[in-house]
Amino acid sequence: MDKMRQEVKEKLTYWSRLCALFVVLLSTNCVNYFRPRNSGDNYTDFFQGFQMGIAAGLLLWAIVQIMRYRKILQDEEAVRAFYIREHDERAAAIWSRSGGTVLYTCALLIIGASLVAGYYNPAVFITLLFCGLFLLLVKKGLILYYRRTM
Amino acid sequence: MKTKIRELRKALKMSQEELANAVGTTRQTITSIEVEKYTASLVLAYKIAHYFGLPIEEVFDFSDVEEI
Repeated sequence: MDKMRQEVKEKLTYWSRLCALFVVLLSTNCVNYFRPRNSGDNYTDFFQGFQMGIAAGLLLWAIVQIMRYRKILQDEEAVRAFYIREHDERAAAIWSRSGGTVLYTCALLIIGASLVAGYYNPAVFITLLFCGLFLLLVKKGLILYYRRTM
Repeated sequence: MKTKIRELRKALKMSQEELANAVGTTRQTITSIEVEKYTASLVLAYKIAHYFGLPIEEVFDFSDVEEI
């Protein structure tokens, strides 16, 4: 049980650090957004709003995860159920067959690259964004497929 | 892979959830093993057989395993 509890605490620490990072990201975006701009074109507004939306969404997601893990820590049965779910071999096999961490990491890196490319070229930004989203969709589709067949 | 898990479980009047909790896996995994969609790993097969107090060969049917 200590080992299970320790794992939940590690997840909580991990998400707390991510939350701090997302707060910094959102603050930076807010400062950029309200800074006076020379160019008032639609794309710049859209792109900065998009960045703020991403940062706010990530922050919200991190807060939800933190609340979830804090709730799990309050109940021994919930800790055990969480541990079993995290270490389920069938779930691990499904994750591995559907591309594992590689596909997921590639998608996130491509979306990150799109946010950088957005400063230079709108077409590249949109293309990379949709590539990243497509990869995530493929991953989800594979997970659903293997859940049915395994 | 064929198994006798369903029969053994029903003999003990046990749900899939209860068996899953007892051997440290999820109900979905037990379901997949029972309908022969998923083959348990050695560790899980051992845990299930050990829970029923039987050798692995009596819980899991190895007769269809391909001979090379």
